[in-house]
Amino acid sequence: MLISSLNVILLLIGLIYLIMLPGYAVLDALRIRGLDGVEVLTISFGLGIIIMTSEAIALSIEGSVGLTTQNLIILTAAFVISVEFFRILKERIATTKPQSKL
Amino acid sequence: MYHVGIERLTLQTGFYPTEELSYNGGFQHFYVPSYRLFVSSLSLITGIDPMVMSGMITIITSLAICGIIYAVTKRISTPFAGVSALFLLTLSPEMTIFSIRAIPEILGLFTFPLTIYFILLNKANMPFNLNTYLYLSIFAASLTALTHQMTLLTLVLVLVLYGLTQLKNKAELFNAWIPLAASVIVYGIWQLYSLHTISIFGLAQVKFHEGLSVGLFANDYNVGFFDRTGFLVVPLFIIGIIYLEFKKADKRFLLYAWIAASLILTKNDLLGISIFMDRFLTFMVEGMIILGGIGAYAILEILDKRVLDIIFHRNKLKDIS
Repeated sequence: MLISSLNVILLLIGLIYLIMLPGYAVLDALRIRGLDGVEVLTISFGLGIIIMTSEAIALSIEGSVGLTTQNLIILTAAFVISVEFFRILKERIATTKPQSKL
Repeated sequence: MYHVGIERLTLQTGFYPTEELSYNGGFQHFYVPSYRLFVSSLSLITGIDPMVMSGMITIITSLAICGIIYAVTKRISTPFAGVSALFLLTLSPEMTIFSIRAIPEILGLFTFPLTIYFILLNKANMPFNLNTYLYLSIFAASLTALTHQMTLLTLVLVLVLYGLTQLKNKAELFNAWIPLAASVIVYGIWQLYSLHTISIFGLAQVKFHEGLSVGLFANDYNVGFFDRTGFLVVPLFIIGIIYLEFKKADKRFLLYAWIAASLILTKNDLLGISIFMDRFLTFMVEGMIILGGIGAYAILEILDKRVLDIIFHRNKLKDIS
């Protein structure tokens, strides 16, 4: 049997971790409003592919560290954490600015 | 499953090979890496073989194509037109064939409208306005450049033609030509890295004119335009254009440029180029489905208005009596 139920679960986890999570993190950080559910899913997928492909090219190009499971997981985690960090930082700055004026 | 060899080698070595494996191998290949690395990365993290993963990814990308066709149609017209376009998507033989094939073009059928979508969202009315949507369209255009050369060529011609229609509107010209420039630069850099040249005239497909001519009707050797597009799509596409012109929809020229550019590329044999004519037809059909969805919505809107008019007329008559 080529595809087992475990394969499907693994694919879903891989898809969420490598594509949907970074894509949604960027979409959320950019604060794009007025999108419906289908658009959010589609654009998150699109942004996720842009991010994942960029990571994979950066890792697999000659002279780089190499495309391995460990490197890909670390790079994706680092990317998502950085995006979330900047989003929180941006929100903090936005909320503290009016207070300092007062 | 031509791409699986390179994907397996990428997994084994950890590096994307620039040398071809097929046709006896040992020479530089011109394939851009996005699709192959998309499959390799997911195979790496899930442990699923690239051969199986290619099939699974095809299903996921097909769903994403449905999503982006809905999104683009919604931004030009209404969500109802988007749903109508999805009905037509399932009726078009060309789109159903190319959304079940495990080839880079399937990713191109998603990334190309994604770039168009970000340009549609960009409502900047000042030239040189570096906003979020412009950056997103640049990234999407760059991904398209690294996904599939024919998709890139379609995107480039669409944006060139759209820019030419917007010469008086500097902001829109900027919104169209900056992603265009980005995609060309990214592709140029990649080809310089993989083939050590920016010339495309040495590519076998260009040199030996690979591709089939597309005629209007089916014959013994070819499937015709109407059979490939779907008989229902063509009239609804014409109604869609009339409706957009009647409504003077914002950025409708982007869709017209899409159709015009893909038509020129599909009939490039008439210009003496004769490269991949039938493959460019897929992008034209994708655009026709969006306009067809708008056409279907236009018919429903007119019918709905007529039905409502009849109901209101009856109610008025009742009130009078």
